[in-house]
Amino acid sequence: MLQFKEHSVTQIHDNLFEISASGGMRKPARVYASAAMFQSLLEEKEPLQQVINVAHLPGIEKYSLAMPDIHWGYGFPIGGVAATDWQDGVISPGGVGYDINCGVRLASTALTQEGIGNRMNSLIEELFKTIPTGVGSSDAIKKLNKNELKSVLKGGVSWIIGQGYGSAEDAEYTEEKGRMEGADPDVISERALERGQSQMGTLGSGNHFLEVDVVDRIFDAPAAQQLGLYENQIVILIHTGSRGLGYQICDDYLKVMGKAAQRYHINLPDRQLASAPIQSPEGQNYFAAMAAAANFAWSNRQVIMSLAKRVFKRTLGVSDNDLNFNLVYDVSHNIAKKEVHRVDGQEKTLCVHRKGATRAFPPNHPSIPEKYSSVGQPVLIPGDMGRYSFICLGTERAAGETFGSTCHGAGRLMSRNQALKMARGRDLFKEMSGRGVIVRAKGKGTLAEEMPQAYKDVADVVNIMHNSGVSTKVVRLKPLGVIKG
Amino acid sequence: MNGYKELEHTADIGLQVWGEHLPELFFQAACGYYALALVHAPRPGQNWQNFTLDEDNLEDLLVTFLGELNYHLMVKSEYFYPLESIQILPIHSGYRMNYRGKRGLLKKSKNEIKMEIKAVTYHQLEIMKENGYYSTKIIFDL
Repeated sequence: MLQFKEHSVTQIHDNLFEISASGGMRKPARVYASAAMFQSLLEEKEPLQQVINVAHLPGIEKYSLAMPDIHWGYGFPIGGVAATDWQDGVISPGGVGYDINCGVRLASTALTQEGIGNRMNSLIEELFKTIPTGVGSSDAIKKLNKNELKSVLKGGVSWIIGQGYGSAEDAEYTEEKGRMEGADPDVISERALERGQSQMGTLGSGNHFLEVDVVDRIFDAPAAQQLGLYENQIVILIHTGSRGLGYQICDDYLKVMGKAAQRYHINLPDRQLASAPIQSPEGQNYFAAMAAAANFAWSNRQVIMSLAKRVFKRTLGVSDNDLNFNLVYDVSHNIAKKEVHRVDGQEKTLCVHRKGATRAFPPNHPSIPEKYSSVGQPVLIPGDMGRYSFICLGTERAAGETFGSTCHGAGRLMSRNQALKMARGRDLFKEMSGRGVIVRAKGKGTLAEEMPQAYKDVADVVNIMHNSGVSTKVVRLKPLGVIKG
Repeated sequence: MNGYKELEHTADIGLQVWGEHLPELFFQAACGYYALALVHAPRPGQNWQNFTLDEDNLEDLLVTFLGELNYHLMVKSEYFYPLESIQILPIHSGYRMNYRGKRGLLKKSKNEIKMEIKAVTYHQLEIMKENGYYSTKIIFDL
């Protein structure tokens, strides 16, 4: 029997550990990890303590969960999932994070690597010129006035498509159809609105990116076919979120929730778990503000994809038919959603917090597009810019064990300073080029901070969820060109 | 000893800050913040601006103060340097901070911002007094 502090730990199977509920924990905690990963977590302590802390939330159902890409965050760990009762439970901004609806989008083309040939350089250069990247990046499109911004915040992807960015069917292939119900721009501060006005269609900095990838390995051929993916196909992967608007909303509501937690006598082991009853005015306002930021983020990725499509057509001189550019899917990995799940054999309406975790709904779920009904929801798991990313599918196992959730990425292995030190004296552009990846980055230190060695191998994370039957591998993507902030 | 030092952090970034009194601690935190966020140390700005912040406790006050500097830098490309006349006073509902700073403007074209700081967090934030000095850790979300 393993032990973590005063808690006993049981290994449920090769890749799942359960920490017993004790003290103020209302439910046990469960962590998806290999034995080696779990041993590291026992030594590191803080991420496991955060999973345990989350189990103290009023109204939490079944388990406080952690995915194998767990690392410590603010209040909740990154890679954390917690579902609270919609009527009697709480909602916590710490369970969503600062970058509300940070997520990933995959679009397919009819192009092949050979078809693009030596034009990849000019394609990446044009993408870099067209899509603003980096700190405070702005002005990808005309600055939205306040009314237009509020229309995006309420209407989500469909509104921005109506402005000429993409086609109507794109909304169908976006989680939640690119629009969360209940979004209310009137509960968002002036500062948040101001930050959103000029940042639509921008990538930002840090680990956000746009990649041109090639499908380099197929694990599940029938499912890949259903998703419209095949070997040697060129696809694009976009990773970004709600930009400054989301950060400001999180910041604003952490203060509100700190006071609300006192008012409602919610005693928690970490002030960054600050929360309010979902049905309280504070809880409802946060949900409405978060939903608005989520709608902004889906629209942001929609605009970036639309701009990227124009660059492909212009640079490669291809027609719509020849390009056959299609959105495969768009997923969020920082969000709280109202969802129905089975708990103790009964359907319950829950608030599912996913912070660094991806929704992974099974086949035949009513919330996924009809086209994918037979295979399940596409799950997009990006890796570092030198190795690979994975496209997986949600399963019944996920529905039963993880509130329909799985991992979201690789996670950092090194601090930025460690990475910068390791990069000294090296020509990283040349090294990346040697791997067959063209990189354009705005920030001076970005390439060093984001070099592949700074990240864990995403395959290790994806394989744990695959072997656990929570999300299954369909294809692997290899980067050919990357733009970053 | 008054000062700050950068803390290693896998995903984000942090500061350890010291000051012989609270205004010095807050001043050093601001200097540390600008050292993290900017490529070069800020040049003195042009025009003085006065500020007043009220919060329930000292930790909230520090987060709000640095959050204000971060908002102005990341959104408006403005910085306030030097910072002077920092006062931290107990009031009936908590603490009040008065300060003034000279407003300077970054040139966006020069990429003067080193890293985008999303927010100032409460993680491990606790203002302590030991051996006559105040100290705290501050972790910034990147």
